[in-house]
Order: sequence, then C-alpha cells, then structure tokens
Amino acid sequence: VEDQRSDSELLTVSATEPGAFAVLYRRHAEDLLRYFARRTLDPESAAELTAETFAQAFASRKTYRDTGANGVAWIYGVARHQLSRFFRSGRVDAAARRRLGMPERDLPPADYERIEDLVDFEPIRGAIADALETLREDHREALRFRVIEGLSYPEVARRLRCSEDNARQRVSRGLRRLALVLQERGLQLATETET
Amino acid sequence: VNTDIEYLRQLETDLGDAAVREASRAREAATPARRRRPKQMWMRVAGVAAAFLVVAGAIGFLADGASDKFQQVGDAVAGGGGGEAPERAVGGPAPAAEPSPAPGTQGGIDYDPGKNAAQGVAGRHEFAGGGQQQDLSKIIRDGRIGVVVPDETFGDAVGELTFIAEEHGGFILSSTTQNERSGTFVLRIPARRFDRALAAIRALGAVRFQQVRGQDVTAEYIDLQARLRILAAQRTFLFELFQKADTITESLQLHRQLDDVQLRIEQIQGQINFINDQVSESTLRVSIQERHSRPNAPDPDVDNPDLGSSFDLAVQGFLRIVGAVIVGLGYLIPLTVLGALVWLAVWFVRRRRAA
Repeated sequence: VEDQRSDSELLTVSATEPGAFAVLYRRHAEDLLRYFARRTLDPESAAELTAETFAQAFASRKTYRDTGANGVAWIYGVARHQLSRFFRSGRVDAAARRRLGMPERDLPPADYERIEDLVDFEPIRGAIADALETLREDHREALRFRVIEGLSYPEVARRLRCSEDNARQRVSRGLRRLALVLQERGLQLATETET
Repeated sequence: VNTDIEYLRQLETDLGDAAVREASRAREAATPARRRRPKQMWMRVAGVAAAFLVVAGAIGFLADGASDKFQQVGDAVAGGGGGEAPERAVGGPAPAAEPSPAPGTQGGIDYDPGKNAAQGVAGRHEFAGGGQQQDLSKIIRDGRIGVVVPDETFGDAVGELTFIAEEHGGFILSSTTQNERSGTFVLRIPARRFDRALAAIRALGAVRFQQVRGQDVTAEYIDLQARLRILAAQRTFLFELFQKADTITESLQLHRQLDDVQLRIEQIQGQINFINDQVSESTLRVSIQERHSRPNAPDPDVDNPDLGSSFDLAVQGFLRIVGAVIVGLGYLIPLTVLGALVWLAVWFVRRRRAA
C-alpha cells in the first residue's frame, strides 16, 4: 500500500522513524538520478551524486523544518549543493557516505546504458560535437562512437579494440570531462524547472 | 525501489543499513546512560576542572614571577639599590645603599632601619621638605650568608669575621666549626650597621648563598604601646584612689589591683624592650667553608623547627598555591570566554555552511 503522507510529513517523521525516509527515497531516487545524469552526462558521477545526496539528506534530516514548501525541494537543495561542488572540484564528495558507514559502490555495467537512457542527448548533440575537440584522443573516440553515432557498447569496444568495461569507462570519463567543459562554456544542460 | 537500475536498489539497501546502525547506536547510547553516563560525565568535568586549575596555577606562578622581576627592576631604577633589590623582593625592607657611608634614600625617605632602631623608639623619615616626622615603623632584620674561602685560610677568615663583628659594634653569639675547615657563626650586629657588615662579610670569599629577611612588627609594637598607656593611666587613677582610701579593706583591695596593673605594665614593657632589642640588633648567620672541604649541613630555613612552624610553613605554602590559582584564573577566565566566543562563531558559520 502506497504511503499517502506528503514529502514534508515524511521528512519530519523520519527524524524518529527512519522507515519514512525509505518511502521518500523510493519516490524520488530515479528522478534525482535523472537530474544528475542530465547535468553531468556521466552515469558514474550521476549515480555517485545521487548516493551522496541521499546520504547527506539522511544524515541531516533532523535539521529539516517544515516551512510549508514541498519537502522534496529540501532534498533538491542538497542536490544542487552537491552538484556545484562537483563542478568546482571535478569529483564527487563521499563525506556523508563515509560518516554513515555506507560503501562507495561501483556502477554495475548494465546500469551505464540504463542511466544514459535517462539523458536525452538530442538537443545538445551539436554542442557536444564542438566540445569533443577539447578531450583526450581515447575519450573523444569513445564518445564519438557512443554518443554521436549511437553505437552499442559491444560495438564501441570492438571499434576501440578494448574490453566492454574499458569502453564504458572511457565513455564515462569522457562524458564527465565533457560536462565540465560545457559547464565552463555556460551551456545549461537541463532546465531548473525539472526540479 | 521500483526501478531497473541496480545501483539504486543497492543504494536503498545501504541507506536501510545506515538507518539500522543509527538506531542501534541510539539504543546503545540511551540504555546505559542512566547508570554509566553521569559518572563518566562527572569524571570528565572533574578532569577538565582540575586541568583548568593546574593551568591557572601555572599561569599564576608565572605572573607572580613576572611581577617580582618587574618590582625588582622598579626598585633598582627608583632606589639605586643595585644588587640588593632581590632581597627586598623576598620581604625584607630596602637596605641602605652599600658601601656608601650615608644611608640610601628612596624618593626622599630614609630607609635605614638600623638608624631608626638606634634611636630607641621608632625610626625617623627625613622628608624632602626638610622637616622631621616621627616614624613608628619597627622592622626586625636577619640574614644568612654562605662564603667559600681558599683552602688553608679558614682560620684567617674566622679572625676577619670576628674583627668585622667588633668593628661594626656587634659580636659572635655562637659558633660551630668542623675540622677547622668549615663552620657556622651566629652574629649579632647593630641594625644600622647590618648592611655594611654584610658587605664586609661578602668580601671574605666567594658568596655561595645569601638571604636577607625583614619582619615588620610595627602593628604589634603600636598595640603594646597603647596598652601600656592605658595601664599607666589606670595605675595613676588607682593610686589616687589608694591615697584617698578610708578603710583598711578598701586599701587592701586597691593595693592588690595596683599590684596587678603594675605586673601587667612590666610584662608589656618587657615585650616592648624585647622588640626594641630585636630591632636594634640584627642576627646574621654566617657559614664559612674552605673550597675543598665538605659543605656544612644546610641551615634549616626555620630556627628551632617545631610542629608549629612546620604547620605555619604548610599553611603558607597552601595559601601561596591558592593565591597563584586565583591570579591565574584572573588571566584564564577572560581568555576562556574569548576562546568560547570564537569557537561559537566558527561553529555557527560551519553549521550555516553545512545547512
């Protein structure tokens, strides 16, 4: 049976009832992952940012005060903070996960394509093609095959003459770098109205 | 979570585990709190308080030492007392400047207690204005000095010491010698010549140690004099009554009362004489030893040590430590408040940033 309580109510009671936070997670985890994926273009970074955001929100949930706004806005506030730190430093923080004793997991291979599917590359394909010139040769090739030509990972791996895992890594690193370059050039990868 | 992304399912499990760990920690912290926490907290508070007091005491002693040095420098600048300044810092009155034949002056006031004592009653202060005013200050001075002389010269040094004592109008009260190579001598020297005698003894050889102390008995002396005046008036009054007595019984009663008052007058006069004697003559303990002789057993700091004096020393030590702690707290409390304010500001800023 789906919990009928609002996000604000769930956040408030989660201070004493951690199960309520799990309901909140189930409601918004995938949306938040999409939010990060559209901004970082990188499945690895997006997954890590999602994990860190929920860990930070869980650790700080007792400081949440219901001011009448939707409770999920508070979580997206944490998310924006994490994202700006990511763009500043080029890496995802793991402090909250460490504080809670949570493991820093690798992204399962099958999840790369699933998370990429959450990102619609079509509107930014042109900008990506320009920004590709700034990347390393191996990353650029991997991105060209995967993002521009839309090949599957087994095909990308065959073209690059490397393993499938290695191809995923190159695409992921290239996308992360690409997101940073696009960010520096002031290109808005997704609109804030999504949140 | 209703998704085909494996990472999100794993993350849900990880968050659930974190929630379980948090609940377990909360239970652990809550259950034994009633029994264990207060004791631990009190021990922690006691430890912090003890550390605070120790630090305060250390600061107090340091501050005390600094103020002593400051006072010594001030004395040296103001009075030109030179090397004598440290002795004043340990409680003795400012000695006359040596070896100048004229008594030293500080800010126009004659500080030579010996001269004061030699005048029988209180000493005199000579003010810059030229007038003279009676000073009731009564200070008993004594000192200790240890001198090392070259080998085979102990006999000569003792002879010179005897000469110094006589030259300054004093005498050797007692002496103890060991193998004719070292010895301790107790000298009684007129207070007005005390500093000059001390300077002459210093010239006997290398000074191993020196200590000069002063005990202010002015309050006691004034009290005795007041009691003496009252008793003298009482005696005069009783004597008049005695002369006018009509009956034998009355005469006998008045006579007994007169005897009683007279006895008390003599007792007080004796105490006054004793103080005058102590003030007019200083005691100087001189330890002389040849360079390669075994050192004399150190003189006890307290003459005729007994339980009372030991208790006094213990109380003095205790009060000194308490005083140092109080002085240190004066420094430490404002610093602690300042530190707490800074910490609060940093904590507030970090909390704002985290939020």
